[in-house]
Amino acid sequence: MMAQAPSAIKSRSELRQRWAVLRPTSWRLLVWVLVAVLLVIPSLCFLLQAFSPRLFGQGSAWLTLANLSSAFHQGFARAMLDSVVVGVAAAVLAVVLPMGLAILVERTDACGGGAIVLGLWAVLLAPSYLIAVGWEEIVLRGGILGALGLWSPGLQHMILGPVGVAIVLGLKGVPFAYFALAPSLAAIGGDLEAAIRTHGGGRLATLRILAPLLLPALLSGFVIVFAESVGDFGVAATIAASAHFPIATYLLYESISTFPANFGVAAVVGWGLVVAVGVALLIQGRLLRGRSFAVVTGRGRSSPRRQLGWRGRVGAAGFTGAFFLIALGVPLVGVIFSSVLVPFEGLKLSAFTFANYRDLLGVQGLGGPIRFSGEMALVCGLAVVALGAVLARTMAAGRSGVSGRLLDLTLVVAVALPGVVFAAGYIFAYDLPFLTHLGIALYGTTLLLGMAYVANSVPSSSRLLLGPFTQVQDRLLHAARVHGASGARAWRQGVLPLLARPILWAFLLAFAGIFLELPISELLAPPNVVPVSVAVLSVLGKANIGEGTALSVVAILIVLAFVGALQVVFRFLAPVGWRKWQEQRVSVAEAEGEELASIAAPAFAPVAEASLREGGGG
Amino acid sequence: MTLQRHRTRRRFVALLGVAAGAGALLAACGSTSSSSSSTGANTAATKTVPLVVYSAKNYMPGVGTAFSNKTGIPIDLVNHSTGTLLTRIQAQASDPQWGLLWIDGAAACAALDDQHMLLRNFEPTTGKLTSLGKELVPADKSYIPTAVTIAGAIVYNPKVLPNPPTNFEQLLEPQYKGKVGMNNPAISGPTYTFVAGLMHQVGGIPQGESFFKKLAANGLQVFSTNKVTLTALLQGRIAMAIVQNNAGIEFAEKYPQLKVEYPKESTLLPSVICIDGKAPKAQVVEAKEFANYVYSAAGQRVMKSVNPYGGWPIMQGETPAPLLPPLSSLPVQKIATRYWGGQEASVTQWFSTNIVNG
Repeated sequence: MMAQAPSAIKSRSELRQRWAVLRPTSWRLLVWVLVAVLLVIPSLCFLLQAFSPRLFGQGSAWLTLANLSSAFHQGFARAMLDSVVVGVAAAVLAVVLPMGLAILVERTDACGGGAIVLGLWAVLLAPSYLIAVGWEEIVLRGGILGALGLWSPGLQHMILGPVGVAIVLGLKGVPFAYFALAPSLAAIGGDLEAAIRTHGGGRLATLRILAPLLLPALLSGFVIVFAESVGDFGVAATIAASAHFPIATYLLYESISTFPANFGVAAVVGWGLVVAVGVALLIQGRLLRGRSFAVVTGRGRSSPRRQLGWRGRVGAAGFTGAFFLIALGVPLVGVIFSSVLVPFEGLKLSAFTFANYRDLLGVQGLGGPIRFSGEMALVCGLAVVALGAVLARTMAAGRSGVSGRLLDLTLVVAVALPGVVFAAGYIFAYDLPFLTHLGIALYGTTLLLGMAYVANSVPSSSRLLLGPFTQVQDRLLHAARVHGASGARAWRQGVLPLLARPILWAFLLAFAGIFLELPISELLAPPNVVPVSVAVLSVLGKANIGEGTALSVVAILIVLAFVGALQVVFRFLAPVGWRKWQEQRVSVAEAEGEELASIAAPAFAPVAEASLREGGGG
Repeated sequence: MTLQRHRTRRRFVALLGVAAGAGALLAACGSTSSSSSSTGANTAATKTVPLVVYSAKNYMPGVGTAFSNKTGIPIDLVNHSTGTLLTRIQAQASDPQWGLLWIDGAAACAALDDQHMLLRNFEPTTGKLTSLGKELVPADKSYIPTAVTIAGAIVYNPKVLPNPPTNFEQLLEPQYKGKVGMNNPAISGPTYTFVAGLMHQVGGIPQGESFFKKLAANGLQVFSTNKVTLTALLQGRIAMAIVQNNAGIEFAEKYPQLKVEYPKESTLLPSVICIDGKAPKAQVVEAKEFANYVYSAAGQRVMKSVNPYGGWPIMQGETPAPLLPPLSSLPVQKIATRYWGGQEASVTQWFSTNIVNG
């Protein structure tokens, strides 16, 4: 009895701790209220259409399986299978490639580590549809390869088919996987490698022992890229749409765009995406359950960096250059060329023109859309970062509990749901007669549009910030409080400097996404308001293909200019402590990428948590 | 313990206060910034409220501005493609937020009318319709034809394709293998009218399905919308694009290397206005006034100047823009709007499954 008592007490205590997060403390309740209002309620309102179309006046049945049957009749099974296969292929590619980049940045003295990280951010900021369109402009018969006499039907067939879809999505996913992998790769190994070598182990033994330790980060990168890929619409609407290659998001788009719109079938596809990501998370959990990956200590030595010879340096530069050429350079060239080349004229000097850009100046009313989208991106981007930070902190603090896991699951699933689901869900949820009678007329207001923008961006941003927040030790806050700082001051002076740069990048990612966002803008923009993406479509719709492409290029340049300006402002105007910390950090890590930490840190969390535990114990 | 519970309760009360404040703020924001909400249900019919116009026609905002200048009625404009507007309207089924819809394609309006969403028995009185215009008016007067376009014109580059087809059956010939592109009728509303017209022409839905299967076997390429299909033409991916004629004309004007051809039998696609039957009375009155303005000589003049390719006028005394050939010289056909409107869901679903993704 006596022997059992401590165990019973321990298990009760663990249970209490486990469910403590479900207690309605004001903080967590507020977080869940926000998540419910922004994400859960609109998503559920959309997804419920699958089984109860009458709820929102979309049919006569309160409960039916007809939409399920109809979805299967329309090729739902094949579309889901294609999406899953492409998602897995993209995730594998996105996990393998960053491994090479992370090894170069974290484990070698190859130069350009900071540039690699900046380049990865550029890949992250580029919309997937633009990369897809850029590749189309290159490989088509009337494209650049054709104009150079290098057109290959085989290459065109490959790129504009399933392989191309997987490659584009995989390349787009590389930054996500990199930011999950790099910190782990930097964190593990110093002592372990020394121990292996001391016991006579060679490179192979080192690899055999260290590789499994990266499993959490690899799986984490895999799951987030898989979720991003199955939920991507940009590639689905471009390459996949005309390749006789149905994928789930396109079926969803077709179901909503057709007349009469079939929200029921679209909701079934939405459920398919939710289940696919849920299964991926389940597999991830199964593979990691019961195993310990805690290898990082507070006293550990940093990983040794391998000195590269000239061959190694050339190889590293070649690998990095090839990656960025394929991921960013080639599609960018494609898009820019299509905006400055006169169609049907071939690739000659006289065929180049800036007329499309000149004509843009003559298109009336473009200033309004740019200003409106800029303001929305600024305000909503700040809201996204604030909420993302709160969510990241909540998840980092309560990830072992049910609430933390539920929040984690909700956000990953939200990543896989296309923006159009939120947009339609917002109409169902917030354009209801009883709300109107209460005087809450949200539909058709800028406020609702902003809420949807925030909802669409916050899942990615919160996961981006999760890694850095997981790494911040509570002892920092405690120390500041012990020294008399208020709670706010402890955060501002003790923690914010450590998180300044990840927060800045999360804001920029949200800014870029909101500035160029289309489906939500189309369905929720108030009357007399034209966001940039809608203006681009409108210009394209008036047969001005070249001008439309030019406007896309200009919009992206605006985003990049904003990113650059904010970086400069941060470098010169951020508080000295923030910059000093940054410089120290870079000098210690010798690479800028490390502080960006992991995006999908559920996997990295065991490593980080172990670090905190062992560091604390030491 | 008591202190902690007391503190928790205080926090909870504070939280409720914050939530209530936020709710009030939302309500305030919503009610102040949405000038077009249906809270105006109690508004007296004489009071001027903004008229919420959902338009897919390039006539807007020009016609809207002219109307506002003349009448003093402000327009709240939502300008998107037909598909996006219909999605918005359908999603708002439980609480409609639109007043007047102006799109290409009577079939969609007929379907909305079947759902009892439209105002019936209204016809503008400020202009006289031509005989073709009169034929387009539905029996219950639930929508108002304003012009006609053609659903399936062929845009092509004579240098690449010197001999374009003169009728749609020729598209099955080997010389056009892999050269034909069109929009996905599940996404592009006007394209459904083209598909329905072709099915009507070959004898019905089963024969039409058989025709499109043969066309797919002959390398038909399907893209999402006009702009994607026409871009594919520029890129050399296809040699001819089947699109709505006004999009084709605008494109051919921008790229003079291209020509527009009207094969036999091209299907007429009316532009129509319909009015939300559940809109507040004040908006219904204004919507009627707007339709009357469109039918008036002044409105017709503005339409022609704002968008000369918007369609052939159907008002007596009005002439089409110079780039539009005389409608009487073209091999066109009309299809039964109600019948084909009722088939839209099943036909587009079949097309998606068997042609787009097949």
